[in-house]
Amino acid sequence: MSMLNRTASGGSVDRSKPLNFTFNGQSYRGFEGDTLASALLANGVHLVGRSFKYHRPRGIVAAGAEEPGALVQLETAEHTEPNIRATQIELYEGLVASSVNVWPSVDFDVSAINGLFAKLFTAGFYNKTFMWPRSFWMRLYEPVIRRAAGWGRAPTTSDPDLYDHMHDHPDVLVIGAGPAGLSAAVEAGRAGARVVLVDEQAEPGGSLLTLEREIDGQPGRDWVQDRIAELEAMPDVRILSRTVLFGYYDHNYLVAVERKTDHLPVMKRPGRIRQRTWHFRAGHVVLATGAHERPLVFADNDRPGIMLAGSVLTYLNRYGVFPGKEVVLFTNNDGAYETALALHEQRLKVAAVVDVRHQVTGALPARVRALGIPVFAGHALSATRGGKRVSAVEVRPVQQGAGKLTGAGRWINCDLVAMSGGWSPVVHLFSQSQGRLEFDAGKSAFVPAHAVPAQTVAGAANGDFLLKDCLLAGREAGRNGVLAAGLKPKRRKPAAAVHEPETAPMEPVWLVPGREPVGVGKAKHFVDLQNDTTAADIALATREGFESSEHVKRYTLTGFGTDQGKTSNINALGILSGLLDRPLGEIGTTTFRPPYTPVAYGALAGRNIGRWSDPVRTTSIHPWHEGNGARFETVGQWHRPWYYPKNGENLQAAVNRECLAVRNGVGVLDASTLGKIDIRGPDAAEFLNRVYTNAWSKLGVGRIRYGLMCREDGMVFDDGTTARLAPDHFLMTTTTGNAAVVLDWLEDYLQTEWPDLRVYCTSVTEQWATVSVAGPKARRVLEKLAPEMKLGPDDFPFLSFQEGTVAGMAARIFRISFTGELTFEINVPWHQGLALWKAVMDAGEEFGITPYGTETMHVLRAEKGFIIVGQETDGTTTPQDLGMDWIVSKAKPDFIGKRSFTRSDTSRPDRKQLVGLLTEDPETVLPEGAQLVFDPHAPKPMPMVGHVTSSYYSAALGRSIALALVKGGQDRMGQHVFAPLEGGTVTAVLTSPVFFDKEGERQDGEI
Amino acid sequence: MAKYENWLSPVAALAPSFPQGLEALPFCAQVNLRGNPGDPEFMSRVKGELGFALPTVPNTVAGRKKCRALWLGPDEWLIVEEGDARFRDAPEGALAAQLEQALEGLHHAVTDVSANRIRLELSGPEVRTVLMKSCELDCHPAVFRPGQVAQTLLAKAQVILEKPAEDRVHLYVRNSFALYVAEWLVDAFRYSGE
Repeated sequence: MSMLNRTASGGSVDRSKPLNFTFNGQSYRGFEGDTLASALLANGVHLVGRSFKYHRPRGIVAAGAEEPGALVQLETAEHTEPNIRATQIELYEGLVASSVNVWPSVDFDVSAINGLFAKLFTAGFYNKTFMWPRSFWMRLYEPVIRRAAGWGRAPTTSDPDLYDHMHDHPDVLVIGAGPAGLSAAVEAGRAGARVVLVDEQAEPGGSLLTLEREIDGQPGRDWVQDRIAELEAMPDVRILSRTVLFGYYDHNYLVAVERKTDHLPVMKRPGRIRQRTWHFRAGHVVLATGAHERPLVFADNDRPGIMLAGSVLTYLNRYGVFPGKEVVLFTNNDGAYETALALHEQRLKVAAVVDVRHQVTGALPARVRALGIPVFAGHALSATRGGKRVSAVEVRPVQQGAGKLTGAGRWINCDLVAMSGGWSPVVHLFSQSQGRLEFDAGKSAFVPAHAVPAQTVAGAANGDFLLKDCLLAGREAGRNGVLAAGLKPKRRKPAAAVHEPETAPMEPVWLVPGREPVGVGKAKHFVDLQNDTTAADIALATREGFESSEHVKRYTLTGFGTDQGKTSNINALGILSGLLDRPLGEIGTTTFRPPYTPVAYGALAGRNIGRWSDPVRTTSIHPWHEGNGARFETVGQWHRPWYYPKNGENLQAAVNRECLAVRNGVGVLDASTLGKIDIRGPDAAEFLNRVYTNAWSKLGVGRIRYGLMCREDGMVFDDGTTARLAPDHFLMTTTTGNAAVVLDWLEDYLQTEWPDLRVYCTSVTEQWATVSVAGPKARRVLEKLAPEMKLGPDDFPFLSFQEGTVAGMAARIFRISFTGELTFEINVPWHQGLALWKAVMDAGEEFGITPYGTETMHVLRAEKGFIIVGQETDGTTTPQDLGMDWIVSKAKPDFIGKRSFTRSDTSRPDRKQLVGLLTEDPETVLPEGAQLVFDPHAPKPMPMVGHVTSSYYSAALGRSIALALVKGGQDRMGQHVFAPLEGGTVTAVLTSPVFFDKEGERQDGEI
Repeated sequence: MAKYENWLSPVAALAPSFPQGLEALPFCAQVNLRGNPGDPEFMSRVKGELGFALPTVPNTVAGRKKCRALWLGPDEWLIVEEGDARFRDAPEGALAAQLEQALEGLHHAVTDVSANRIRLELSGPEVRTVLMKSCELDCHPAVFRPGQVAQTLLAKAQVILEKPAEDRVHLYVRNSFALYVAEWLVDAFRYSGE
């Protein structure tokens, strides 16, 4: 199909580079430099979709980010993206797009019948209709209505594209490369500032790409090119085109997304970054975001072919496309006359200019009249006709202020209506930066009311719509950035000579009357084209008592679409102001929130996906674990061996085997992940006295003690063993997951509470690899590796440490035990961990040494009733709750948490206390987390008295065991509790949490 | 026993496939030193041992090419000795032992952390881009200058960044994060030219 609606020349499309594309299965051609929207219009395609609620035919309205209606499904399969604005899609060879919200096709849409039931779908229809009966919601309303009233489809396969993130810290971040933004960037760049210039379009220039203007005798486009060339030559200036600044957060942290390959044919994209998210921490921000044109709200103003006048001019001047051949302009300001002149120049028929103003006196209207184009001053469009394209409009005289129609109408045929309701500064980012807006009655727009620190708003974004003002404001904004960076701005050059038409004042019109009162008859005055919100909906909302702009927005869904109401919000507020008879300034605006335009999830994630979604921490022995078939468990960020299945064993079989090996022979565990903190100083023992609940002063050098840490509220926070290496030197171990938290906690106390204590803490978690050899035969293994050490229980007793040489490596060996068996924890420098592990495996081979993982470790410690912080505790558990009063010093004057143990809550007898559970059926393993009750026949909801914290099958005991927290449990030994589960109620008896070797006779192993 | 015998870097297997501009540095002596910079005795004894004064300006490095002190906090430094310059024939831990001896009787903490972190070197024209992709800190050459050090996150891992020269950065990475960081950097180099 040829491009019927393309001008003979002009615009910035490259006519030597035709491109083929497909829309709704039909093939078309466009040019390089087109958007999908301009290419469709060049081919005479106006009908691009169906509206959200009523499925009315809809077309292209605007030419940029403000487009409310022309949303398409771009590409197919894994590359598909829903609801993309056709006005922002750069055309490329082979592009495939289709309409959203249509079934079976955009030309014949079965849901258009919704339009016949329009009265049902008024504002708040969800709330009113579907509240009752509730069961209908899931079964009927939700699936049916959602299918009919939906937008595009999310891809069903994972995103194959690459995304990444960048961080930059410009002195001056300029948003918008129109005349104001370019002036600011050049001014800042010339003074030597670090500048980033961000622009959402493929091509810089902003309004100068649309309007024919001269600056210092130079055509606007040439002026833009010169500025870009100058900026590109500066070493510290970065120009980011195709980049949407979508979020503006505290302290000038701003986030943008750059489209790097979206303009390329799909086959040329693989292997390249598709979109890049930029994080800026800017010294100064210049908001030069321009303005969006407003539609006029008149009867049946949504037909395809009814467009914004400025956008029509953009299609004409920038893309060489005329969206119609017989045009009616409808306006309340002089701007639309510029479009009329440009259309006339292209020999297109301008059927009429309809202006609601009774006095039309400006220079532009005079030029239009001089060409013989009829200008209807004091008139309005009162009705439109047309199915899939506007075909005629009715023009009627209207009262001053557009309050009422005052005379008979006449129909004028047309295939395009170009409307202009004035301009709204793009204040979204200003608003996001906590800027407050005020209504400027003179400009009839919400404009920034005050300066936000480290920011300047310049040009049309600030309500300065004239080019000469934009250039000056941009320059001053750039200078503000230069000064903020501590640099010296260059001397001001004289203001540029600008040739632009003079304009007369506009006349705000928020609602144009129709032939019948709003809400009566079939005609609809659309306010929000994306959500099908009409003026009647807003009136209904006020009748039902919604008066705040925020309430009306939510009740009518105005501005709730993906366009965030860029074209609709101001008209909705204007209509609300009229209905409530209150000035617009009092109504106020709704809040603008990020993102400015929708952002793909992939862009937010960047490279932090898959294996990089979170760091995976591994020990130096990890390669051995991997090579020997270990299954891994995630503990914090660590990947720890969970169990080592042999010959197809399942988890339980492997754990049974590993447990029995440790109990009967010897096992080995990679314990490198335990937190290790080196504590030094003359007050180190006193420091430990204060952070642990037990006493440390008398611990001998070379000895080790177990300690429990509480928070100020008396709840258990961490536990571990600490060794005294020297009188003023300790080595503390923490739980794997808490290592960093405990170090921060210790530093916090040292720096803020006890600065008088002479203590230094240093993390050595990753200085040492730890190989824990456990079991009755552990000594036999170590004897082979450290022949010169004396390892017997008298020379190397339980809870002591020694330095020595193990397998030729200098090592620290700790005799502690988390299993109840004889255990040597051998520490060597991290990078020797693998060598030590291999030596231990070799030496232990004759004893059947068995590597074991975290699951076996958990079973073994549970058999001994040893707690795991975070499993038996949950931040509401005291040492007493755990039956560990023995570790809470009564003699020490103070320690963290001590005061809380005298609170009535921590001493009440019905606190949940740690107990052991033995199920009646020894084969039943209770699920961890199971809730417990004392009376299984109590009516529901049953009073719950606790829960299972740990539960395993114990191979050593030949039955299941569990630990639980139960109300008053320590006084209920021998009594029953019940776990009502889905498959039946499990009965268990309360017992001591120590199930195995209650006397601790095994800790010295085979002598 | 030879020095660093049996020592295996967590990136040893990956290092041969590192791109141009990314390199794993050899093991060296690293000592975490804590002490009171307001105590002239402490400062002078350290200077006597190292041959240069500890830096007290935040985020700076003092010393010579072979032996440097990285400021980590108001009372904390990382002493790094390339190739164990003075203790070539001594066993591991000689630097820590010497400092320990020099500071005897003063409140201090000398901790041998030679095996706590591995070191990676970034060099060449892509360094800035790779850091911009990986690190929220401002690494512009006018801001992060030779002789400076910073503690920050690289992707999601804590690292120490040391800038010994223009277009060159040393990363000190805790061992457990080393593979994550190295793989991240390989990827960042791959897409840095975009």
